[in-house]
Amino acid sequence: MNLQRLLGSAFPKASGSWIWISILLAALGCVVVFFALQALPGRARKFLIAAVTFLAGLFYAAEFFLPVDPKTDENFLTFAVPTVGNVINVLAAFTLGLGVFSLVRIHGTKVVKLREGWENSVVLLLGIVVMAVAGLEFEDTRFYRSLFRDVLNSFDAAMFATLAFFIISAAYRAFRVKSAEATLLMFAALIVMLGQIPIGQYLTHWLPEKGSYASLFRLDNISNWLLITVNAPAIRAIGFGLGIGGLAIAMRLWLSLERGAFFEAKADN
Amino acid sequence: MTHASDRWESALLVALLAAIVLFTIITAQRGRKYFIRRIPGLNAIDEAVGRATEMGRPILMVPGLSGLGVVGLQALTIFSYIIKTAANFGNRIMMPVADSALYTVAEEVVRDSYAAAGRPEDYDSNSVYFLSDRQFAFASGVAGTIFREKVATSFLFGDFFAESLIFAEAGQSVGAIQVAGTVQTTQLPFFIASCDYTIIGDEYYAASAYISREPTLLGSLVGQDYCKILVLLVILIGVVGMTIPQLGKDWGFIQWFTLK
Amino acid sequence: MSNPLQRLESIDRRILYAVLLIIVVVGLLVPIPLPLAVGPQARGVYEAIENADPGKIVIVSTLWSASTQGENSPQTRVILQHLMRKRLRFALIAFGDPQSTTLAQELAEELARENSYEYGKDWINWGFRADIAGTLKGLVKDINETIKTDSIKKRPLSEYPVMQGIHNVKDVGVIAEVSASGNYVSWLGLVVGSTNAPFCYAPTSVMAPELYTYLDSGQMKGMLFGIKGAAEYERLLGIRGFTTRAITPVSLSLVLLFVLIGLGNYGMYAAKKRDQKGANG
Repeated sequence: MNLQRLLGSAFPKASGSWIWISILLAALGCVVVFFALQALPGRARKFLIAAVTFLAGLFYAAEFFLPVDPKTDENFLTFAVPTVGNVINVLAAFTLGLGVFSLVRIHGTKVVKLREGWENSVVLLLGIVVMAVAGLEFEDTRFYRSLFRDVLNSFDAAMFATLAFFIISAAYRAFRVKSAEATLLMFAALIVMLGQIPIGQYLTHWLPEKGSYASLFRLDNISNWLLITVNAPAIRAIGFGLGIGGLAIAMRLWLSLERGAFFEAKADN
Repeated sequence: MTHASDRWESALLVALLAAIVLFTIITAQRGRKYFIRRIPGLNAIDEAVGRATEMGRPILMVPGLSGLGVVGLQALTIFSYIIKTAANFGNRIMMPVADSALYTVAEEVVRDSYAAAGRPEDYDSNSVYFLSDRQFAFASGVAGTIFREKVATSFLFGDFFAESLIFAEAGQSVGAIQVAGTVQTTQLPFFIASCDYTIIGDEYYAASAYISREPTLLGSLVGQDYCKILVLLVILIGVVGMTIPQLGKDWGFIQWFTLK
Repeated sequence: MSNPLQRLESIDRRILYAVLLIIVVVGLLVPIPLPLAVGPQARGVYEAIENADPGKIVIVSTLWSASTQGENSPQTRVILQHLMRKRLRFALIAFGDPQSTTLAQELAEELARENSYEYGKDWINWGFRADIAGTLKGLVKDINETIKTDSIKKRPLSEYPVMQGIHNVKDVGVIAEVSASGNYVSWLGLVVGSTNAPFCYAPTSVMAPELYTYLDSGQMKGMLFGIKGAAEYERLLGIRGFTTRAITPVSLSLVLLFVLIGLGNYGMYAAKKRDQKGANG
């Protein structure tokens, strides 16, 4: 907790006009850091990027591994987790601005130069403006609710619903008896699907639900068995592989071992 | 589990796995040679780029809904290789992005990849663009691009959810050759059904090692395999340990394997 | 030139889409009354709520938007119906998408009117939270301190009778999440180990196969498998609502799929036979 107190006294909570002064100083600091980074030679910049990446990763690793006070379930770094989270959120918010800028730049140019499909770009830009103004200024009005519920919700639901059509066409093409494995896969899929629907369940509904060997042949029971005994271990195995793969790449990024990766390539310039 | 002390044995295992990966990376950097098997989906990248060159139509690269994290950065690493190949053939590329933080990095990656291929003048600032962070707005935007541009090749690498099949079927209907890879296991069946090649499970993380043959990445990949052997051993000990009490013996270490 | 049987190998996708559309519309208009077997997963959710301690609160977490409301809305509805039937206190909380809290609240308000459930006394909305990990960690320690105010009246939680005696996750009877995402990892990693409350999940059908791992390990006590899970739950509750009706088009669509797979394979077989004949002749 000493670190928290130390930081608290070094950066007291700003109020009144101090908030604006703090923001201004922070912005100035960012400008200075930006130009300092530009002025640094490639090797030094590379070292700096690696150091910052390492320290940022070290914060979370140390917070996780260091022993905690059993009463509070916290160690001396835990207090800073929400603050670091906020910093990440602020960075993400800035990048959203860049994203919107990209959208407006590309579609704005298209409209100005009347390139093919410029009408679509006009609709897009209008959509952004209308939704933003409605959300910011008229949130409690029927106009906004209508835009949100009648337009956005309907579009979202319609896009998700198209999946049903795509599943039909994809499955129709994919399930072909081309090899022994494909045949096995197809029959397993058919049993699982039949076991999930009343029409499939009806085919074997006359068999007892449980408590007898005959129940093993009910389609819903075979389907459950396939999902639990065959599907679950396969997913678990893939999950283990993914978890370890994720850990390895996280280690490489944290320790800047990702040779030939973008950060390093940039720093070498 | 918020801290290592909540379950120290799990934390110890994570630390051990990390140490194994680091060890194999160091040995690879010191010159030890490692072998990795072929991954058909990654072999197909050059073929897919070549197809786009023949047809004179663009190459689409979609990192899905990935944010600026391990999955998204791995997608960019794979795309970086594809862009370098495409730059040599003079292909037009398109990369719609759903995450604004990833977008900023993606723009840099594309520019640097063109520079690395010796074609910085071919970089088009409109080739990487942010579409929307809403899942289905992004999906409709990408599907629209596929249909309008009639893309020749589509690379889908990253985090994909329900929109995966929309992309894959749109690509299929315009006759694009498609290579996909995701860490979202529930989306794999859709990619397998609609794409020409699908990279499954941790092959996704192996892709950069396979493509670049960089010792650090090869070492890391072999380290991952050692880790998997260790996890298998832990599972085996767990199975034996959970079976023995059923036979009437009670061993203390079994507690490590029970869920809290 | 290929004969009609060989053409079955590559039916135009527009024909497939048109047939599917007709089948779904007809299935919704003319439901077929077929018995639906209740699986152990849906029964697990039912029993968790049925056996919940009335002195505790139930958390209903939602992470879905309008896009998946076809599946997630009926799931949320049946869970809330059961809670109200059992007169259990519950709290709504939403993650992932701000739409989630609005849509779940609308459902809760509609059912509360039908079941004479009073806001603040019988149920409460904790609102949308952007920071999933931070919020879940907070719930383990101190719910009032983490959530602070409700999302409808914006008053401190401690002022509401529904929150009396509820301090942290140990005072929670059941945790149920209705989700279009893989948020279960956060719940399992950050909350489930700190409480005896059973954890149940209601995902979309696409996501469901991924969850059998956790059902098998006992970390999840039950699951509603998409809209089919919701229909099974309706059966357990003895209700024949929209969800039970909606199972007919789902069934018919899958039957169409079986037919198409059969036709596709027959077409492939016919084409292969023709090729062999051509090679021999």
